[in-house]
Amino acid sequence: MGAAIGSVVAMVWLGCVLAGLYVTTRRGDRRASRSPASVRGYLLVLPLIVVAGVGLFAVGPLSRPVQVGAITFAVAAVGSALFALTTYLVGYDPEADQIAGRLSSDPAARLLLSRWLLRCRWRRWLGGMLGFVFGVCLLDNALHLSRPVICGLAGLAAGSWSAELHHLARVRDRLPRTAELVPRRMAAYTVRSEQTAVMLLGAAAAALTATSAFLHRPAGTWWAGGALASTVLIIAFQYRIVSRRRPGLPPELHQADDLLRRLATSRAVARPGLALGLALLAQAAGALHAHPVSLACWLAAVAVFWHNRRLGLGLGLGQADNPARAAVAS
Amino acid sequence: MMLRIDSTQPLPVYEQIRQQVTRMVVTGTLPPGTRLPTIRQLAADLCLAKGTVAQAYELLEAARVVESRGHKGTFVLPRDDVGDPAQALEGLRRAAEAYAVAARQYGADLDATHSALDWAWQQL
Repeated sequence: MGAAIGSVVAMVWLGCVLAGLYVTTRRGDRRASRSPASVRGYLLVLPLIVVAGVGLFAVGPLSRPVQVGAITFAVAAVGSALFALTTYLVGYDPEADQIAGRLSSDPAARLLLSRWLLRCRWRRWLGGMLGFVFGVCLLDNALHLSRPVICGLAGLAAGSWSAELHHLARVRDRLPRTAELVPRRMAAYTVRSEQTAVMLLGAAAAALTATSAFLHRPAGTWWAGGALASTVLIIAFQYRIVSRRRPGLPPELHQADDLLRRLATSRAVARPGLALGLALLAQAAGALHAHPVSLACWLAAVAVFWHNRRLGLGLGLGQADNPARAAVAS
Repeated sequence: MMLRIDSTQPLPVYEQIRQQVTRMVVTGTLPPGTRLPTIRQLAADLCLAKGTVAQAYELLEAARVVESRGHKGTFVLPRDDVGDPAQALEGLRRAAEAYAVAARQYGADLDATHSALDWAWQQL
């Protein structure tokens, strides 16, 4: 029974992937170039429904949950990676170009922003997708829906953070090296309210870790420790982004690089980390039977995730005004 | 306020940094109280070892061009604090001697040497 369901899922998923590849590779066709956005949405939703169904069904007495879960996750993971890799190699992300065009008018700066958006959005999507599917496969009870959500948020945060691990390659030729004699400080590239929220999250996570350890609640300790680790990772990645290598640049590229660093510290690092940390904190509070606190943390995590979906930049792309630039300016 | 490091020049890299920062301070491009980037940042931006930049900063600090204030960073000193007059005169004489030797090597007479110095002064 489990193997049959796994085979059906595999065929459906591979069919979706092949359809996506077919449409995506026809990038030059104007009609086709618009359709992958919706195709990608279907590709995301359809297998998730199927996988979630299989995951829930796997707890039944006629199936073997471990095998079904393993097959489902393997097929979904390979399919996701294949599709995402192809879209990345083709360089397809229609929204990235649009958003970059709204953020800067200089061609070189637009190229810089577009490349960052392409990399960041691709890894967010892949990480979130794999995390969510992995969480669904971990389901052993239909009521434990927090697992896929937390795994999804963790995957999304990991994807976002991994996109910031790059740095400029060292110049190998004998051209003069240049640098500006201007110090870069964290405060110039971070949003104060977000930094306050990160500090509050860290303090709450530390307090819950200590409380859980004192009360001998290992589950609470682990969840709160995870939230604390998330806080540390946020700060570490922000520091890395701010101190990332920058040679001397023309003014337009300098501004674009500053904007890119501000976007990265806030939307690619702080917000996904906050959403994950709040979800972990909610689990820790739940383990301590502080259910109102847990509910509040869950709501806050969902609100942060929802506010930062598509990096908070792709909203209202069809409108005449400039919401993306306004969002960045704020 | 752009630093340029040319590895094809015979001058050591730390000396290039020292000279350029001193020039910026003397010409007022870097006003007194300006904070310089950290050693780590400058080394990363220029793809250099941290020790090279640290050496340049130490020389600048020894010449009283900049001052290190611990974790707050490195700051440009006011011109009044550059040193006592006797030391400054001694340094100036040493530099003039080196310049005079170079002028003789190029076969320049005193007028040509003066006009070259005038030109360099105007360039600051």
